[in-house]
Amino acid sequence: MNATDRFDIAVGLVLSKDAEPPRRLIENISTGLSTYFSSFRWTLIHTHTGLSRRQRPPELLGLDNQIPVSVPWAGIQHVTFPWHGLPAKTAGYQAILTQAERVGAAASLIVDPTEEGFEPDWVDSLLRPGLHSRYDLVTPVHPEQPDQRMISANLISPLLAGLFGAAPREPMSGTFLVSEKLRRRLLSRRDWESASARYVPELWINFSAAAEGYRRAEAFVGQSRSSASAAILPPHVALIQIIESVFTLMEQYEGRWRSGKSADPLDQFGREQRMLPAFAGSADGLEYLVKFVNAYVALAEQWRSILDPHTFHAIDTFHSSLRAGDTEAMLADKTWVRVVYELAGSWKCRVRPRHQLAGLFVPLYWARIGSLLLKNRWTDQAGPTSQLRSLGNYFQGMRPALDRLWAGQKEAA
Amino acid sequence: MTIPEWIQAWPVRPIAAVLAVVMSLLLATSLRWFLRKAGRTDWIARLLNRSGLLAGLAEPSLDEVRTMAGRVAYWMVILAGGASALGILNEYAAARLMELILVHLPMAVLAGIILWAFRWLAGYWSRSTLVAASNEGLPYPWRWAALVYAGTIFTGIALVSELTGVATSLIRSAFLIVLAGIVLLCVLALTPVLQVYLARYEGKATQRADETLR
Repeated sequence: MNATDRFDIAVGLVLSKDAEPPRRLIENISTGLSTYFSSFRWTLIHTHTGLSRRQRPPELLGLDNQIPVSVPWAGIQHVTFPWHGLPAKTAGYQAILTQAERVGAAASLIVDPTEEGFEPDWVDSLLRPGLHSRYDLVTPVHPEQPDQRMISANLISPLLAGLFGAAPREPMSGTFLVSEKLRRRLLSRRDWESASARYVPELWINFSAAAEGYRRAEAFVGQSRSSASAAILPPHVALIQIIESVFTLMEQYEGRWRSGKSADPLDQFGREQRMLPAFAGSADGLEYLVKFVNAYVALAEQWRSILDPHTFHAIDTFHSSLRAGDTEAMLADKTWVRVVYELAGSWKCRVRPRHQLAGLFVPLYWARIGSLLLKNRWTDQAGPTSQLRSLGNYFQGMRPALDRLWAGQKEAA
Repeated sequence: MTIPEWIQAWPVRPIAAVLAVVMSLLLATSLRWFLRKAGRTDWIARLLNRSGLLAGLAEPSLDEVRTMAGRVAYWMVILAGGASALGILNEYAAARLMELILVHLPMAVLAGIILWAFRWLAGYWSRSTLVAASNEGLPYPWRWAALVYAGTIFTGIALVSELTGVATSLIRSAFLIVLAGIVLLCVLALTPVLQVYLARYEGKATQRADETLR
């Protein structure tokens, strides 16, 4: 391949140095592109993180339209470990977008290399809105299962909906499409090394795109079988990284979301696919609730000192119900929204050191998802799904409370 | 210019001493008023909030800090005025008082600052320990937090003792014994925790290897 070659579509994969080349995934991408976009020229940009500067990145499957890139770990990546388990993943994204800019691609499709459910038609679903309808960011929507993507469904997506009026259902998906316009904006940014970008790069891109008014869409695709979240960090450390990142982004963009202007509506492409009724394991839910009950003994006074008395009373009542053996008890949507908003306000006003606030949030999150999993363990997906969608409405409806708390005012009951 | 005879006939020393006290009282009152007013600015509030210094107080309040600073300045000036008055009356008493003010008082203030700083650190670290231990699922998170609190406070006391020379050998010995005990406890307590963690990571690594092989 010549250095002067130009391509219409760039497909990017961020691989770690020890990862096996995802052959099936590459074949499916190739099939999808040749089936649905046969008139477009495409290239596969694959970055290999963790190689030294002298090591050459390997070629994949003998493709002649590939651009292998080596991404060595920078200084800080040797001492901090992100929750998704791939240090320099953000630098990998940056390298892909840089190469896509170099070859003049009109759209950059980044694919999670651990996504085993990727089918050729995903290429069509994700690329078409970007190439033909000029959307800047397209994220996938997979058929939902009650026990999957709990943090996106319970926290990140509804919180973004509360801030910007519309939010993708999977803002932390490792598969997404970036337009030329958004790519140039991202490449011009100087905060690629910030903690929020390093820990949760997908959220960083989604949040920025929503805050800066880029056109966003989401496309319905098939079931995900990604193992990206099987990281080696304990779940609470992962959660702390995510919550610190989202609050930091809220602070970074407070001028945008507090201005009251809603982002453009999020258009949807394709048809939502329904799964057969899937049952979440009740053991997981119980495990989370046990964690919450144990943490309550140690942290109740801390919660009492930072939460509104009504919010704390609701948590106290929930705890008492659990202690009485009522596993059908649910941490209500309204209480959950208040918890998130009050912690966000405390974070902004530095009521406690910020790492302590993030740590105090963790058991409350276990309470939320534990009660959700356990309550919905014998229902099919329609119940939990509609329930989670209404959560976004709660976040939007209680948005004035966030504005007051963020400004340091005590919330009126 | 000579001092008039009618003034020399007065009890000059006691009158001058009283005047010194009155002047210091006036100065102290105005300084306290100024400190309380001067503290009412936004940037000081922001600085104190951001530094986290207010978090060390039971009820974080800028008013308390202003009041405290005003009181300290007030009593410092009153003491200085009293010392001047004594100096006018009696040279020996003045020398002892000056020693107290210049040597012992700064030492006491420094000791107070160190103890306050260590109390703040103890609160900060123990709360962080409590949250982290709870999230890590360690048994008895309260005990870990209390251990950190007591250890930090005791370190502050040992440091103050070294600085001021009060009961140095006793507190130093006690500190070393407690330190050794804490190290021993940590080793004993952390061994099973480390074993659990190692087993967990090893299990995950094996699981990932299995998945790769499949």
